[in-house]
Amino acid sequence: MKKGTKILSIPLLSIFILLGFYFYNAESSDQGPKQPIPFSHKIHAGEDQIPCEYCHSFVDVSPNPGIPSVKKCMGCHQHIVGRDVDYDFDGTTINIKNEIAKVREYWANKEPIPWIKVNSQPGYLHFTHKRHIQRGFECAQCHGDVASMDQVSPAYNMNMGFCISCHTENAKDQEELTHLKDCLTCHY
Amino acid sequence: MSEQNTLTYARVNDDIIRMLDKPTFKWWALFLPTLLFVGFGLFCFIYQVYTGLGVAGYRHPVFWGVYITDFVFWVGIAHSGTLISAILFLFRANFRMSIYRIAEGMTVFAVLTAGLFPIIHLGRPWNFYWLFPYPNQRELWVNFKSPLLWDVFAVSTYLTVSSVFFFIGLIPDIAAVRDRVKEVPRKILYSVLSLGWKGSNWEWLHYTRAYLFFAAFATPLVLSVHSVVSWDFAMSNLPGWHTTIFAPYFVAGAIFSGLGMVITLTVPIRKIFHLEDYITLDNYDGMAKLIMLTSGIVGYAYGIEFFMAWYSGSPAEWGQFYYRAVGEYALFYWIMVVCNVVIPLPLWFKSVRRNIKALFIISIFINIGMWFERFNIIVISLSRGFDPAAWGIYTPSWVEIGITVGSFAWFFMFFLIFLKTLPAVSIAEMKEILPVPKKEAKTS
Amino acid sequence: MSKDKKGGLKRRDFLKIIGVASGTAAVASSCSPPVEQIIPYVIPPEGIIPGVPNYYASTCRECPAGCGIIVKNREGRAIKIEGNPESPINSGSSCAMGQAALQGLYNPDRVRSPLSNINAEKLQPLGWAEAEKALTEKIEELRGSGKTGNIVFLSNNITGSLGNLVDQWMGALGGKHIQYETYAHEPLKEANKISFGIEKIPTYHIEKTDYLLSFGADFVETWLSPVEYTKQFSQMHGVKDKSVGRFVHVEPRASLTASNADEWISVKPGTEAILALGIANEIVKSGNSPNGGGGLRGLLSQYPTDKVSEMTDVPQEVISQIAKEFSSRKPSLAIGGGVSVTGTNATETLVAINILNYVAGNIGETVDFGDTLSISTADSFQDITSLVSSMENGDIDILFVYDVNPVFTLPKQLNFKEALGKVPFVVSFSSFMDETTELANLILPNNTTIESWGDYSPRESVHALIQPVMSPVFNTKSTGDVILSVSGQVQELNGKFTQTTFYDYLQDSWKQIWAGASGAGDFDTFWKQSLEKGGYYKDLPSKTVSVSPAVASLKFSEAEFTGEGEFYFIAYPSYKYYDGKGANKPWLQELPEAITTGVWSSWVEVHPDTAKKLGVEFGDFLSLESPQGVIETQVYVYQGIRPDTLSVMIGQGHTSYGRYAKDRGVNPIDMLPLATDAKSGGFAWLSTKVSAAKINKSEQFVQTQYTTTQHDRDIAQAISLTELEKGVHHEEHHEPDFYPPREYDRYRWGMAIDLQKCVGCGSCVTACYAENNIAFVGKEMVAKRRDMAWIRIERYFEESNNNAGFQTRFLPMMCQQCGNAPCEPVCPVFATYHNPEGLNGMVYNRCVGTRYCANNCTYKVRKFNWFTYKWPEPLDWQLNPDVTVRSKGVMEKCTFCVQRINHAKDLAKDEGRDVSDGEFKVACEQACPAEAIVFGNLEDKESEVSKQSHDDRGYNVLAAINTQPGITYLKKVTQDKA
Repeated sequence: MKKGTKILSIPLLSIFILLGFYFYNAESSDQGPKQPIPFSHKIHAGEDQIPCEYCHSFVDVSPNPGIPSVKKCMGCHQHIVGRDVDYDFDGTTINIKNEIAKVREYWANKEPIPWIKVNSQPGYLHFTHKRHIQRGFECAQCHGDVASMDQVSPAYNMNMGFCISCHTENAKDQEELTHLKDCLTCHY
Repeated sequence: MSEQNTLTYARVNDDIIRMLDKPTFKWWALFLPTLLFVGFGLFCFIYQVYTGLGVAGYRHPVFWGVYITDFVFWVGIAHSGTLISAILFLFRANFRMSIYRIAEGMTVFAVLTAGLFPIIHLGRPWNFYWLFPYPNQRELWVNFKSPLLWDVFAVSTYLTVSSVFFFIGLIPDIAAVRDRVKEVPRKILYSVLSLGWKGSNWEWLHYTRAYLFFAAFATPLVLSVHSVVSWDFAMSNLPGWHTTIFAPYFVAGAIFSGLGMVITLTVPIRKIFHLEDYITLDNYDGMAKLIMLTSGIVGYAYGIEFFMAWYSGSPAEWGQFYYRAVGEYALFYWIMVVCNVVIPLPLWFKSVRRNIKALFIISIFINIGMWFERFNIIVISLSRGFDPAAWGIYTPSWVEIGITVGSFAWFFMFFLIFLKTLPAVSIAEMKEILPVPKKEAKTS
Repeated sequence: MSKDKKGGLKRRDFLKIIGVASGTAAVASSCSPPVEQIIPYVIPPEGIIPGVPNYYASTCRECPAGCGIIVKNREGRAIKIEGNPESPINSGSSCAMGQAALQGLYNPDRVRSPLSNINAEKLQPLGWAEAEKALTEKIEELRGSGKTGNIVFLSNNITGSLGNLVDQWMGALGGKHIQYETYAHEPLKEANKISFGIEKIPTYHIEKTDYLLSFGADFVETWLSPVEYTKQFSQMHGVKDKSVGRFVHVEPRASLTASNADEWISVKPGTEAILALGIANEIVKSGNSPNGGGGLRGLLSQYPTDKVSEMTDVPQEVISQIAKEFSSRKPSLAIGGGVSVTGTNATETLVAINILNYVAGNIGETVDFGDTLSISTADSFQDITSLVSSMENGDIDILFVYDVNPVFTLPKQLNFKEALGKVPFVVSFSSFMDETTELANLILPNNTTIESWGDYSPRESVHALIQPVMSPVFNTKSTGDVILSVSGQVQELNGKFTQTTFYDYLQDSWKQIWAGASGAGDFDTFWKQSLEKGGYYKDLPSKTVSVSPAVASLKFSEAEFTGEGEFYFIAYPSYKYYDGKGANKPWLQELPEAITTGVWSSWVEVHPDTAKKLGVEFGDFLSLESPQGVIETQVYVYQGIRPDTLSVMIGQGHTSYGRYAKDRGVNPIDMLPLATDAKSGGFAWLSTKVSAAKINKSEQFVQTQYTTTQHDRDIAQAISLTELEKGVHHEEHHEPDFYPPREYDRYRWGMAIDLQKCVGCGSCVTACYAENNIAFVGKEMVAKRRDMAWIRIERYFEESNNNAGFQTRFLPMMCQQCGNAPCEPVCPVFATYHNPEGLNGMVYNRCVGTRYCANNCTYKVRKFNWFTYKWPEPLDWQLNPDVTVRSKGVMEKCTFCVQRINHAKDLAKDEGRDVSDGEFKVACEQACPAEAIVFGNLEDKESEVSKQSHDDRGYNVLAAINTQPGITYLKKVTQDKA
């Protein structure tokens, strides 16, 4: 009788533990959303070496970094029509020329490109890029090596622990630490 | 004494284990409605979670109401169980023998009920687990200064200890049942629960020691748990809550209401299962005396509150108690006084203490009165705080009433199941107070 | 941004505007946010950085005062209105109506496109081209038939470019432009014409006076320019080196203005003139008049004190007392002309007041005819009546209605509604479906002030600019543009206007102003400067005037009343709804009316004795009957009204005008007879007596404060003037404390509130709603005390030995940000905690909702989200992206505008410095017209707030609880007879 329960309990327990791990990591195992246009950060930031601030130009003056306007895209793609070659975009083959054509199409119709947000935070969190950039942090420190990703996906699970640990490491002195650990710094 | 002579070990076993026979129609007639009401209570709760706490009658400035009242009420009920079994055991008070099992069962189920309310009354119940201290990446921790957190520990401790104590007491009896029952599933169940109890001297030796130890361990909880609950209020600065007498006042009230509930429960059981020979008038007499005492204590508390409010010279304090006696809630206040102080007075007469009907009626009133005591302390105090601009009247909504009724059903559901599955009267201990059996009676 | 994804009206264009969607709509409870879109600009607009607010100066048009405003814009949405410090009128402050203008802009019941019923039974939407074509055809058809002069453009008092445009347009069409103001203050003009020969409404300098005597002028509420005069009043009435000005208010009921007076004189309705003359006579008699009464001795001698006292119900000693003070405390000023006391003798009353000022030698001192109000140019009530009659005779073929609602604001007896039925073609430019607009044949919805170009000149010295802060929310078009494009299409008008857009027209007309402005540089710089400053302001020399001898021969009478009822009936204008215009804005509906704290409805004020006589109690319903109509409304028993008088607030009782206004309360104007002021011909608001009868109906009077006294809790404290002069000591409260005192290093945010200045107008409350995304919950919820306001204005009636026998005290109560907060230790999860800068942090997303904090709050200032409250689109566009929108089950409270604190600290950090005193203001402080609230850093001993919190009058509410609040209140000063 007791033996039976023992035998049963072992697999049950292990299943629960595994489930726990699964749900704990579920968030971070995100492959990034499907964008209206398969925009490759690997090509732009990686091969072409375009600095992040060129497109996300408000990153050092505003809480949110800003998304390039369609006009800005066309700034380059007026001239760059794109090679008529297939490209392996995270496993799916795309034709660069055709994709760039889509951008021009949006521009022609004077329509915005409905990008999907990759890193989003809930509304009760007031994060400001400005402060972090001015403090001299690299984009990669939170966003990972975007230059090597076609479709950008969250590099880290940006939960509160992520913020707090970084704040703890980087606080100049005790006063700043108390401030950086104060709830009202981000939640209001 | 006379009827006890006719009791033999054998008859004890027969009588008590007979209670566990197949559920009768009567039993079902009681059980099904309870299920129904539990269901309705559940529905109310789901509706509340889905729509928001606004479906309850709460309003600024009365942020606590019926739910917390129920919580304190049930925690109170939970008290007499441990009292009767543990404390009276230590005092070797024999009148507890027949009733302590029922009392303990009551304790466990009452705590189970009480434990629900702190969660039900939350604005965001799905986050209730934030109240437990567990390590997390947010580096967030709970606030050990908060009386609400003390509650979490007090109630959970009380639940654990009382259920363990309950189970320990059951072991020999379950064994007895195991030896009797034939049909397989129950046989298995009882064998597992009896933990292979043989009834050898050696086992009895250790058992009694263990029981004594647990009794001693449970005893302080009787005082501590309800003191902690009282601090939910006493620790605040609200007129009507912020007072030093709350701990003893609440403990006495708890025992008072607990005993009331024991009587309310045992009287019908005694009748239905013909346990007159087991639950004797002496037992009731003893309980009634305790009730007299505790009733006196709460009565004194009611009085002294007014004195302190007046003596404090604080307009807010005095305003609060004056309002209790004559304000919009005066009716509830006087219901409380009458039920808890006036109605128990007849118990001073022996004839009343030994009159089952009278006791039953009085006990019902005690339950009502004690519920209102908690309601008054919570709601009336809140509705008139320091700032007159923020005074307001609270009336419960159907949702709160539904959940309250549901909680009673929930309690009785467990209790009815208990009656049909476990010996409601302690076989082993009943035997302790029987004369030693004669030759021809076979032992168990 | 789930709200955006709902794909509302004009979504695509909207998205083009808003750029990066902000997290406004995300709620505190959302654990895993849904898939969010980020919508880039197609073409990035100049100087807009997503996430960084832009501010545009403009002008408020909620009432004729024309306050300057600054509109905060985030990602193309106007999210907050604040007063423009540059404006000489309101110099930075604003009123509740101004704050709530945003809910006009985003009102879900706005007319969303042109409508017409030309070829349909009921109004059908149509495109602008069609709509303008339809109008053009009508005009041409009319001119074809040779009928001219049958076109009337009925508007409110629109000065500046639009006014000129309309005049020119009507001129070209041979039509007529009538400017109708509900409260045109004609008697004021007429009286000044009679007394000084100037038919103008002057500006007053209350701040310069030491003694103010008001005959029903409700300058805190609606009179001429409330924000400006409230500010001046608080300067005059505030404590300056241990002395305060004195303010006496004469009115049959204790209005909000009267509640702020040191003495409220309850005068018999319609006898103010007699009283004024009586006082003047007393002054002359006692030889205190600098000019000895001039040629008026004879006139005045007809008003001996005893006779006056008899006629006015004002005790003799009071009259002589006032006379003594009025002539001794210099400079003094008597004002009058409040709507609610405008009777059939209004002009005479005001002449009498002028005489009083003259006798006391105030003319030219505190009354300035150099700078006069443009409301003087509004057309008279006769013009309206004659318009109605010609409408009835069918002489009007096209009627344009612009920004007025005559069906609602004109007395029923005038039959405007019926007359409107006789006009074949009615065009409304209103953006709201009000009582007049719903009867129109063609509706060409105008942009709101926030969305359009324009200008307004409330007075000679001010040319205020109106600029669009965001592109139109709906398919609306500015009326100026409509007129120009229609003119372009009408044959004969071709080439009449060179401009094609109203913007060009505006600039052209400003070229003239620029020409008039000396040394303004070239036009573009002038234009830019004006835009930045919100307009062009010039100083005008004050004009000296002299009383014309004619007044000596004037006959003064009591007001005449029609109706057999036993009660005088006062319909008083509301500072929340003005003439009913504000009733469609939830913030204003939910703002507790200062005296009654009533919301979302209307009521009749009844004196306790009268109530007893009528057998009614608080909450019962009365039926009031005048020859013109009957209204049934709820009773508010109020000691601040004469037993022989009943009063009802104007503004409610709409039969249309959107979900928030419709079928709510009653409209007292329906009760008023078509009586006019004898001399000016202006409408007489106080001219009827009504009978009152109890009806068999009673319900809860929905208000936010059910108590009227303090129950000895000493919450709103006061100090007598004599004590103040003696000099008292600021009692620093120190209870023994178990814990060591808290240490703050750089900042300890604190506030000081001067109860002597606070007038209870509630603009701080509305500002707080706007800044902090506070939900409005509606009447049913307020009835359950579930209003979410973070600030409540507590109102107490205190026993007093003044003439009224009571004194009203107001106290704005919000989170006290205690240094020793009861809420903090009881929270089991640290959702509320003490932050290193002395704030009681409230972390919504950590809150589980045990509500213990609220139970333990000494001041009961915490509000709980009983439900997840919704803002019907597009009201949610106004939500402040910097503040979390709370969801069900979490606690909330005043945060001291922590988002503004953090913003200021962020800017300071950019420049590597600390936040300096007065660098930023919190919402309530910024709005307060009385400048009663001061916010700042208590650690900085030089800061204004530190100074004030150590003032002699300073005290903490319920200090004995030892909560050590961050807010210090400064006691009100009572001037009771010693």
